[in-house]
Amino acid sequence: MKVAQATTAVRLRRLSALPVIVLIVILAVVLGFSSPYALASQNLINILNQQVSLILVTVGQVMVILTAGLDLSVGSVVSMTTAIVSHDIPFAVPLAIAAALSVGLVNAIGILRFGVHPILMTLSTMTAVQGIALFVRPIPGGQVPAWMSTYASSVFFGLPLPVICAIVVVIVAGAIISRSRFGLHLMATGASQDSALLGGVNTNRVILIAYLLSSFFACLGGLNLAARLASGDPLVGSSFAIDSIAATALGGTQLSGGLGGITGPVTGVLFLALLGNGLNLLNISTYYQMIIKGALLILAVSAHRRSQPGL
Amino acid sequence: MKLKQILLAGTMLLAFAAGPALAEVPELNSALSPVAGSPMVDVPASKKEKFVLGFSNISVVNTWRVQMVEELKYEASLHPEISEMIVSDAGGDVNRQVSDIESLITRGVDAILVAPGSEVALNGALDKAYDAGIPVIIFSSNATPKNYTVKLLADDAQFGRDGAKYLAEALGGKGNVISIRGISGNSIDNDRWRGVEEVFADHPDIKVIDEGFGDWAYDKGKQVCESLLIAHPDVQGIWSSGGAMTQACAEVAEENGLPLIPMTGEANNGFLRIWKEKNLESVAPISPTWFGQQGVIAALRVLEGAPIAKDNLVNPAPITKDQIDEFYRPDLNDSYWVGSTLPDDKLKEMYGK
Amino acid sequence: MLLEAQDITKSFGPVQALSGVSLRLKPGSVHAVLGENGAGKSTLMKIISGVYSPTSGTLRVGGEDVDWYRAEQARAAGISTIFQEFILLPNLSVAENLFLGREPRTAFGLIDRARMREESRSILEGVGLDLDPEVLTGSLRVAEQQMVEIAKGVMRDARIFVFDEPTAALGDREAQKLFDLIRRLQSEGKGILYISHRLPELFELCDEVTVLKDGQFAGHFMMKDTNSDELVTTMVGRSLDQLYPPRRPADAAGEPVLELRDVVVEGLSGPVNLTVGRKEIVGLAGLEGQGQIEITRAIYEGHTLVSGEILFEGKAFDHSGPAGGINAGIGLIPEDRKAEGLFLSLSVARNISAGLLPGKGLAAAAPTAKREIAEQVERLRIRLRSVGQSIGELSGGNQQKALLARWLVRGVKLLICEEPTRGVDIGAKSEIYALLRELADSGVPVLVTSRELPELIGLCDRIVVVRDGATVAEFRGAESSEEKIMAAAIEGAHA
Repeated sequence: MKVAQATTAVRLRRLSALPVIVLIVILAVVLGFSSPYALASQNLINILNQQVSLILVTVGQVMVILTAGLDLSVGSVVSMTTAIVSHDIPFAVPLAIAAALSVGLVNAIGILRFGVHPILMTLSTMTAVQGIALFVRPIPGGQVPAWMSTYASSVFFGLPLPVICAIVVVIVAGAIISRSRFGLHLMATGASQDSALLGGVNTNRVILIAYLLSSFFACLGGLNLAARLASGDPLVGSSFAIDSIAATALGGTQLSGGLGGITGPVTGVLFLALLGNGLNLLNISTYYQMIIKGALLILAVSAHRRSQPGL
Repeated sequence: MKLKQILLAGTMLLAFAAGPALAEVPELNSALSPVAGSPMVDVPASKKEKFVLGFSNISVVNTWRVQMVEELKYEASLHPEISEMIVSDAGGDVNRQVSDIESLITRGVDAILVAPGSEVALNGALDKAYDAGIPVIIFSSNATPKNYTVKLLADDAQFGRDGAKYLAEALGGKGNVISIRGISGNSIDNDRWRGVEEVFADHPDIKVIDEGFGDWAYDKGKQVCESLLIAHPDVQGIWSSGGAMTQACAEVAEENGLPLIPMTGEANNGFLRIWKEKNLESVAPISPTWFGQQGVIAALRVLEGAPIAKDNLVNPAPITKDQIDEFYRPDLNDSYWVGSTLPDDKLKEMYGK
Repeated sequence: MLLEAQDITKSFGPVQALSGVSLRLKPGSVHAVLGENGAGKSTLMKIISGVYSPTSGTLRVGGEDVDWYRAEQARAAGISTIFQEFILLPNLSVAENLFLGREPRTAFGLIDRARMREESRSILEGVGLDLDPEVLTGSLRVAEQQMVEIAKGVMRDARIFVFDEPTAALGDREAQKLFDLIRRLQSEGKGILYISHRLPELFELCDEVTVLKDGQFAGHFMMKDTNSDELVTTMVGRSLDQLYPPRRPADAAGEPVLELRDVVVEGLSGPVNLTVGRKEIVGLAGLEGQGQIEITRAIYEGHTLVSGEILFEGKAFDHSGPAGGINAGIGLIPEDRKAEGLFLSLSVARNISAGLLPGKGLAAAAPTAKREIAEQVERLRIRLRSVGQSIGELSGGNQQKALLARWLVRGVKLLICEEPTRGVDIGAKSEIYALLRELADSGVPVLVTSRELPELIGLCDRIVVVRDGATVAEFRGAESSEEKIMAAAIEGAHA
């Protein structure tokens, strides 16, 4: 029977997260044996809390990558957000959100209206927004509203509030991507804009929303980071673009668009963090850590290539 | 792997060293002096005989930081009372450094040493450590938590002042100057530049007519210098935020047939070599790498209950042209930061040609 | 009247794609639109389905004037279009594709997968497809995908259905299912616009036909009152019996150039025995997916053989990939022209000179072969503005000729043509047939595969029937018939 052996679409999407899930399990086992401290719950919570911002940014990045785009400007948006909210001005937070959304809007206009390649478009806004961040706050410092510091240091049921928020965001985003109409339209647009358009998907709107969401989530990441660091830093986000893309790819979401989900990329973030933390605990030098990370990234990403009929 | 052996050797030594607290409590480097009006640290000595120290480093992004961390590890290996020296590196990410510090707190180390990546971002985590009763030793760059145990700082503005004073003198208090700065927005660069501005404020006839950011790197510095020197071939002096960029400027000047005007440098071996070879008119402010070593000593003094001031500042005098041979090490390569406390074999291993 | 198009004109800049075209569609009728590629059929269909808006003229649906500019609006007015290009997304499941753009939702606003699955199942059954709706669309066969595409178009609650060359990728069995479906729509009183190049199926299916030529109305006939000759003459100004080149005598084959001896290709049962003579055109016939493509690719790319040998000019040759076949002197025009043959974004010249790519040479200049390209463009009468034009802008027939030119510029000793006239209009078809004949006469034999039996019968000197990866029968072109070939293809009986 032909039907029995064929891959179902939902299964394929789930499978895309498999390699990194396997990797993280292996890593956990290895670390558990080699350092008694590695899997201590307090250590794991520390790692989670540290990764909240990157997880938020990655959620947005995934949306864009599913449309076969790429958003390099997320790191600058993170920096700009921390720069804005660390100033003692009224409506700092709404202002930061509005600024971030306008970056997403500019990205989408450049890509949709003027046909600029996503990499070039977001590379340009990345540079420009970095400039804005430096302009707004040339030197790290400043102060965030008191409620933000309270948010960052609150703990409920043993979990820091930022971690709880991240879990909620990931669940909601996961539902949007895998269960909502918009999610399906992201996949359709990413596989072929022309076909999706003929199939009744308003691809321009899908892409616009994807870039807006990416900037919005980057802004959330920036707010969380500013709260955690209780200050603004115009360069603090510089690694976020690359890290979020690496985690997305590691999590089995295709950079060519149209295939993936949220579980893989979030697991990818946690994997990279756990790896860094574990290697630190094992007293392995930073240089070796970078080599190991690069090698694992190649390994994990190449493991995805085979499970893809029709793409 | 060598480091691990050294650490191991340290631990083994410790096994043989019988009896508590026989070793002398080490003294701080005499170049460090208490800030005027600083209180003494008032913390009861630890009752433990062996200590676990934790060090949270922001990054090993350049050789200065690498050497600083090596000096810290080496010093730790000399003291049998230190049973473990945990070193974590945040890879330049302050967000990760917060977690690293939290992680050291949960591991229950006896003292936390921190080379902060931000003046403000780590404050929450450092307060948490202090509140948990862990001595917090901040060194090399500043952080501003509510409470801390000891600070060992260099005044980065002094680096700028040293260079600017030299330029003012060399130019006779009058002339046009360009500045080659580090990374835009970086606090060290900002502080150094603040020092320059302070000095030049007293010399109104010295004008900074243009500036560029060379990211402290040789290649970027060379591009920046090239465009600045070609735009202003008649400048009389160059202030530089780092030695590699000064080297680049000297080469640009030579390649374009421009005179080797006074330009400020930095106390690393590569710059001293160029200084000597090209017979530059220059001065080399020092930012000591032995901060790492001093951090360990400060932690030990706190834990052993030996007297130590809360706030300490280092102000080494800059190296002048007639002192080059005292500091220059022709047997080591360009990356070596002069004035190290590391033993010779360790230096040869790191910087051997 | 369900649909009336009156004096429709459409120009793209200076190019007049349609001028003064009219068409009337009655409920319960299947109305064919016939014309060469470039005659304006697709433009007319796109105007009717709302992709383009006309420059002038009126469009009336159900008696009301419409003025729309988006596919959405046409769809809302009850027009469902099944496009020629595949618009299914390979990364989605069949059900997701079927419901794309109007997914059923649960009370929470999320997609109701269970309902989608159930409804998909019954829709697929409606078109005679026994498929799991959750299966990944990209893993389906081409014909199955086309049927899903059709199901997607037909499931819409529409009054007018537009089919743009729906049978181009279908085997005979699926085509019959499609015809049943269209007859059912017809009996429900829907109006159907049907575009196809295959004249026989128009006679089988349609009531009336509108013929377009060069963007203009060329004629309207009731199917029962007309015949193939009249339609072809109206369409191209030339009659049908001139479509294929004259036959060559039986003994003109010449010495064998390609020999397959007891070849068993990996994954097929085999064996294949096949000879192609110096001056021959040989056809591979068979039902859909019986191994024709695997055999041509084994010759060209060197797929792993379980046993047997492939001899080219009496010798075995290097078989480590397409470069091996090319270096031995074999050219291939692939079945899927756009995906495997052309570099759509590159110029015509680059596409033609691509045949010169295989070989080593970091230091050697990239081949340009300007003069040779110009010669072939003229010889093959490729219609273009300049050789620097993007090949994606050419019609199917001219694209196919450019692929032919690629191998002529290189100078091959054997040409393999998979589906030589897929998506090619009749005018270009006869030109391509003549070119292939000319090539064979000049000593470059041609091996052809085709789904269209009349094409194989009309063109080939010999037809070899493939069934389940094995050669089972052989006919001389002049003596074969569709019935004989089908019998062999189904039963595998040796003639």
